[in-house]
Amino acid sequence: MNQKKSSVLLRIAKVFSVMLLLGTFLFLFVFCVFLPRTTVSTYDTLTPFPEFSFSALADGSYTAQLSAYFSDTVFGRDQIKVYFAQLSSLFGKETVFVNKDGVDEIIIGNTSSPEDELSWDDTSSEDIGSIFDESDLPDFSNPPSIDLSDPGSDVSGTSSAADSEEPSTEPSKEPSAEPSEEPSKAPEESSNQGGTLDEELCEGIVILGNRAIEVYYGDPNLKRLPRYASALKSFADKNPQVKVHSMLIPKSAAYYISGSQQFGNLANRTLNDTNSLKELFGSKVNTINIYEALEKHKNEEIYFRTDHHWTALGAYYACEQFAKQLGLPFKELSTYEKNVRPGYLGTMDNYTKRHPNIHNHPEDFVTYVPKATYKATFYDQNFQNSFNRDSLFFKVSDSAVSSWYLTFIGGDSYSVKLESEVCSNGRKLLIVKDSYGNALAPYLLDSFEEVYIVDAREFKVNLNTFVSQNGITDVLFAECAFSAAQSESYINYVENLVK
Amino acid sequence: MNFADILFLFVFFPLCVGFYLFKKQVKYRNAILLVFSLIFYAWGEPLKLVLLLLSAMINFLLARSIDSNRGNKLCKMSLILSLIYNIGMLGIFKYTDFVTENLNNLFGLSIPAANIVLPLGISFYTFQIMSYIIDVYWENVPVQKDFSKLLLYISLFPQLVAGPIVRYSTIAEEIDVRKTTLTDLTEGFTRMIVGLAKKVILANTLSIIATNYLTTVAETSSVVATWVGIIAYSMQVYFDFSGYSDMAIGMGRIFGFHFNENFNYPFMCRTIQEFWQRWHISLGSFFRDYLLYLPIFGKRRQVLSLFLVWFTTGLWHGASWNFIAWGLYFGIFIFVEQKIGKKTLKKIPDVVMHIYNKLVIIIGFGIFYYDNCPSIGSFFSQMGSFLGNLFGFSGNGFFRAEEFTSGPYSQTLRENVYFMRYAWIFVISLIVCFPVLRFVKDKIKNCNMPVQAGAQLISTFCCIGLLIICMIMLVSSKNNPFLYFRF
Repeated sequence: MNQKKSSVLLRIAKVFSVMLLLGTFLFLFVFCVFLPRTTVSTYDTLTPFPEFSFSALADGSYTAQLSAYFSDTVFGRDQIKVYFAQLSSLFGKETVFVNKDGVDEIIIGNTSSPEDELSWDDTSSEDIGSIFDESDLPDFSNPPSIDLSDPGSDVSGTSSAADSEEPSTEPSKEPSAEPSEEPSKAPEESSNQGGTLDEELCEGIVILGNRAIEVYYGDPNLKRLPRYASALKSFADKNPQVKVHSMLIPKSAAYYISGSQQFGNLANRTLNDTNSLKELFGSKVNTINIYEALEKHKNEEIYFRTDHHWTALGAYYACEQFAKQLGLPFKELSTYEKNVRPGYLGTMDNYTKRHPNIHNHPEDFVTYVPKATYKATFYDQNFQNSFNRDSLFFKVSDSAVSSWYLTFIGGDSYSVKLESEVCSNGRKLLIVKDSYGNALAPYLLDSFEEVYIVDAREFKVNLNTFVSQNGITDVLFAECAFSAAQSESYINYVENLVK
Repeated sequence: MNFADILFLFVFFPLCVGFYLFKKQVKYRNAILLVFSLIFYAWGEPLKLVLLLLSAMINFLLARSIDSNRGNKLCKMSLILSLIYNIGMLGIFKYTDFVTENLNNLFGLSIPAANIVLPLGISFYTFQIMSYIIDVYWENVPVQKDFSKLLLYISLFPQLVAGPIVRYSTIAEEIDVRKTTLTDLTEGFTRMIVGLAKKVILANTLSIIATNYLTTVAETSSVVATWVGIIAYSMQVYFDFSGYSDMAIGMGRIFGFHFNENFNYPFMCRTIQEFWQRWHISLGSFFRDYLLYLPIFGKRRQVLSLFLVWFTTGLWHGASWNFIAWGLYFGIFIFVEQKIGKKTLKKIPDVVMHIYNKLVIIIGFGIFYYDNCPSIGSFFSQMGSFLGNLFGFSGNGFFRAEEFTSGPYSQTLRENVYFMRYAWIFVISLIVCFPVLRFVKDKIKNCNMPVQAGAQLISTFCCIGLLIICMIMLVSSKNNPFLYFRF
């Protein structure tokens, strides 16, 4: 009898097991097929639904893309990736794959091809239209390419942010915000000066407290800075009527990596590079020394904790220094309207693989909107097709949270002309920049009559021609230290533009 | 379609199981399986489906011809025609470019490459067809008179593209009469999920280590790093391929088919001969049964047949010199073991035998790894570098805890950090490589029914957990091809 009962018990267990297993597959079937598909990811480019053609069907590419689309767009994809990151973080320390002095590229993770991983670019040109909550952006016919080898370029380095043919004349939608007067102080855990913080090393990025910092090695052996300096000096020689300025923008490592046990010794690399560059420029190029200006404010939120860029506040202090050195008028920060958009998780969230220290501590994305009136014209990279906007700020979709840095002039896709209606001193400034320079855009409307902003990696017009055609009086080369000191490709771009 | 793919796992497979279990009669179930199998194949290779159907039809007719012409010449002729067709197709699709390239190299010719794309699973289904034809000729199995049933055997999606090579005799009866029991379902699902976990959790992670130490920084890997890399690769191949076989066997079980085992804890072996009795069993037994005893070499058959088998085994894995070298490499050790004799081998202490065979196997996987060699010269160059690193002749040191600049991208790495990160996968993989789970299972079988019932439920919950982890990992990684898909 007992034997029979036991046998029945085993049978019941098996029936229950089969029901559980079938139920799990049924649940996952419903989950994958009937729940809404993910349309925008903050982390990756999603495979689009394939376009049908008989040739694509015949060669298998249609079904292959359909499979990829199905996997990519599964419901709650980003959250699943977060679960994966949490799962991965259970298994010990992250890998450190970093380069040392004098090498070309930072290796992130264990990829066999660093170019694949070095892109700080999450979004392809195909889906960038969905990043902006603006449906009226034009589609310039010659979208710029993406430089995958340059960590200085971010999502804003992507190509045309566009899905409409007609230029907009509508007023822009500003980022939702709550006004505030004073710059806020950085959270204590982010200041990381004490060396007692919980330091973790993650894929070539140092995480100190809740701040992710790229390791910056600079160019102590002067392998690249002289090339960069030569390019700017030759540009100055060719354009004696123009004042040429250089603003080497430190990366966050300059101020925050000193707390790292592993890489604290590299903290002075940016300052060394700044000084080296100043020496290399001599008197031909005017060095804007923002290193010290920013250092005074390093306990404020001048760099994002979850993104590799600086903040609007950092850019403000840099512009303040620039205007001060040139003796030009410059408005107090309190005259700007402060907009705060909470919940920002920038590029570092992805590149630290949603590390809990970063992912669970989003920050505010702050913009300072000038009260000065101005006209903004956005051009393609040949400076031909254009459209006008009343604002240099773009409204980036809530769902594209890692791309909010595109708020500044829509990223690197456009060349921008700002015409100030409050300044008429005849000074016309051209800013040649990488993505760091985007954040400078709002602050110089009281100092210059016209401000042109072009991305060195995207702009297709020769700068010598451009300055003479547009009556430029000042040219500011403003890029992050990595671009000038470590990125061969960026220097190539600059050399090509000024030759 | 790929077993480790969201679309397959959570749409195709549940739909197939749903339809299958909904119908009770075998003829409907066969029809459902056939339709799903053809969709499965067409999903990856729509046009190559025609090739599969053509092969099935030609061999169906030739098998009928063999059967109906017994005792006369046509019988043998039909067999020869079939073999010529099957080997010919395999040769054209798999080896044309290899032959062309070598002729060009050898004679300084410039014959243009045909760039033929290898049809998915052709090595597997061609061998299945050949086993059927030869067995019909030898009268080991009755001829199949229903084309749809033969097509079902050839195209059955669980084992279609990456094995195991299922003999017709194994499932001939089950095509006509079979039922799926409760035990089939529980064990089938369990087996399938365990196979998936082997692939997604273990093999994919091990591949990161292997790629890093055997490719990315191979030039400067220390002795320890090279050993870790090649052991990781050996386990990766094992988990990748045996994971696929587990999934195939598990899915077959769910549909009422009982395929033979394809792996039997190969790293437990004491000799190289035993390794091959435990590794890719269906391929080894195919060559043993259909090639080793062919009377084509007369009295010298033992030696020549043996090397023919190992040459063919290598060649079967791919049109590359490293695979041929890999096959012959094992052939040499098996030949030597045969010459030494079983009795003498038994007298050698176990420790010595295990060190010997693991060394041979691991170096063998080194040969297997370097499959991208354009010439024999580059193959030997890569192998030289690999062996130099492995045995410390390359001057890269024994182990590097300090940072050093390395590899084609001049990165700096510290091996100890890397080891720390992946130590867990190494430990788990080593445990799974050995029959720990089988031991537990056997112990539970000897327990009373309530314990067995409890174990059944625990096993089910573990499987569900593994399935969900696999899903999370699959969503987070874009590319999960099985290594043996290319064969």
